[in-house]
Amino acid sequence: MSDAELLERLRSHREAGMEALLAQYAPLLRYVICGVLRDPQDAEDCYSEVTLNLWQRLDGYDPQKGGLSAYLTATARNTALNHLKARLRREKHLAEQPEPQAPATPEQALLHQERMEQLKAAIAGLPSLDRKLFYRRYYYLQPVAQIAAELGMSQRAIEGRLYRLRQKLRQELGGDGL
Amino acid sequence: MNERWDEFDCSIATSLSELPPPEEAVREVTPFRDAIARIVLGLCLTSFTLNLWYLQYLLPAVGAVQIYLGFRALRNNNRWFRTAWFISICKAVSLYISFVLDATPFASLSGAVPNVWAAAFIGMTLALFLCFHFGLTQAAREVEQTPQRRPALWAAVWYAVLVLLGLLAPDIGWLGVIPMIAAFVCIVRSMLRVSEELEGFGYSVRAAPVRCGPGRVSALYLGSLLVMILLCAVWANHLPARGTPVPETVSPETTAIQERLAGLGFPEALLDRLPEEEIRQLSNASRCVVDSSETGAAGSRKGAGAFGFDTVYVETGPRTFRIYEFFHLNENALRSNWRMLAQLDTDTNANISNVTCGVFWTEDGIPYLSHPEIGSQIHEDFFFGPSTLPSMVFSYPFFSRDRGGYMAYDAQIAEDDWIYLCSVLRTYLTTYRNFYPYADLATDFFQTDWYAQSYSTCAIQPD
Repeated sequence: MSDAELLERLRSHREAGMEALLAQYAPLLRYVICGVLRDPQDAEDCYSEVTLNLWQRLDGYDPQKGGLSAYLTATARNTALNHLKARLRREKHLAEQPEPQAPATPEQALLHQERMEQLKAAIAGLPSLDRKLFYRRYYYLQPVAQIAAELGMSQRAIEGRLYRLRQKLRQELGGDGL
Repeated sequence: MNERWDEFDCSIATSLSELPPPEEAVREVTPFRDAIARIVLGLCLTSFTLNLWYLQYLLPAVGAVQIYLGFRALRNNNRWFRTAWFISICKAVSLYISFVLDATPFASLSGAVPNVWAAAFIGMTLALFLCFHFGLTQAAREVEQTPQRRPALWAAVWYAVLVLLGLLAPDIGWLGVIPMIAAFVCIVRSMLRVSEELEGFGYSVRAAPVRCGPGRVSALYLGSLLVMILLCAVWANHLPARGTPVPETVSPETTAIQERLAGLGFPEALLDRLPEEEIRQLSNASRCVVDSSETGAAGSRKGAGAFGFDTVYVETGPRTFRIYEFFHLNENALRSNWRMLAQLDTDTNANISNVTCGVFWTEDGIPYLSHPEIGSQIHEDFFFGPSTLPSMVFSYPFFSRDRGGYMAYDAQIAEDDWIYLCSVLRTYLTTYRNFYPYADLATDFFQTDWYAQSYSTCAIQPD
């Protein structure tokens, strides 16, 4: 079923449409989530949360802004990342909820915007294989073993390449953080 | 995002929530795309044969490695992919052995073997297509999906059509090429649809870990194959020259015959290169006729100037002659150290017997002589068709000098008023054209660059 047909079915028969969407895209959602969350129980919880998010927010999806698979990938990734952050906080015995942050000043917002532009330019300047590695590592948060297997390379080769990539980015972005 | 991540890594990962990858980058991040691309490329490269510029070896070798690398990544998913992986190993290994054997004389030991190899390769390729199809079907079934278009199965069907066309109508000509190209295009189209098909269920595939990257595997396979082929080709194209030093002194009897022959006009430089047993056959010599030329009477552009010829007719009895066809390599015969072929094209009117041959050269100032085996090989003549001629195949040691040789035979001429003899010696050098695959040296004028021949006639009025 094409994406347009899926969206049409979602609009006309929401429940059946959601079922069809998950039947088609569940492997993608699970693939993205399992890259970020290694614990199967965590991944399953996250998958339930993603489906709930989609049920609630899929109306907000605009096909003009990008493909459905990219939208689903972003939703699954961000939900899984939040799950991971929450788990890490729990492991470090920190408060369940982060400290409420003060709203950014206009200067901080401008600086952040500049750093994001820098990051965007740095990504654009990467060679094809490095860009693939970058997204797999920092966007999909995949482990080195998975990246190596899926690109048909040895873990050692991936680690070496990632190390050089990280050094290059650190140099181009000029610091420890964004 | 784990213990080994520092603040820099975490900040990049967090920032990317605001900077998601473009759609094409998202599409590239899959567990199957790289493996499937390799399999598709490999199967396409091994589905056809292009008999030019060594592509009949290069493309299947590259294709076999790609198929192996592709199925290596998928091998842990289901038994079909695992079977395909084993077949891909068998295919790569058998191709390797076959290509190396092609550099040696063993390639043509039996006429049946090439057909067995070809059948095995066709069978393996067909099995790969089918295992690929069943592997994809099972991968889809594991996530409760059904493949829609079955592209790998269609590719298998088109491959079978391609093979049948090749078997049933091998010499159909240009008209037959059209359905073959159409079948191949159908294979490629079907294979290109595999990736589309996998967008639905391919994310359930799990890539298997590997220890050696694709670049290293390809370099190891193709590099070692090239080295093995070159080593075997060098070994097969340079025959061992089992020469013995020419003795400095000969028996007084032989010396007497030599002096007599020299007196009759037999060139002394050539007499010195002949073995004693050959000279003794000329004890009854009564007449010598010599025909010398520093270049070939005919030959290819490079070859004609590379060889010089001397033909010596020695009358050894009534209407009986022993004819020597000497050849020597001039200094511009640069490729002289590989396999060479000399063929004797004798006068068809005379009764020919006692064919002998010898090859001589100088190494470190010492003259050597060897006696290659006399065999027979078909000579392809553009005008007169094929004929089987007495031949010798030999090589000179590397860096040897003063290279030459001879073929000799007795000719008994039937009763006639005039004695008319015609003798031809054809010589060929191995060149890049017939270096690989190993085969008998091409005697077709258009197939060899280094070819020259002598042509001499001898007309004598009977006493």
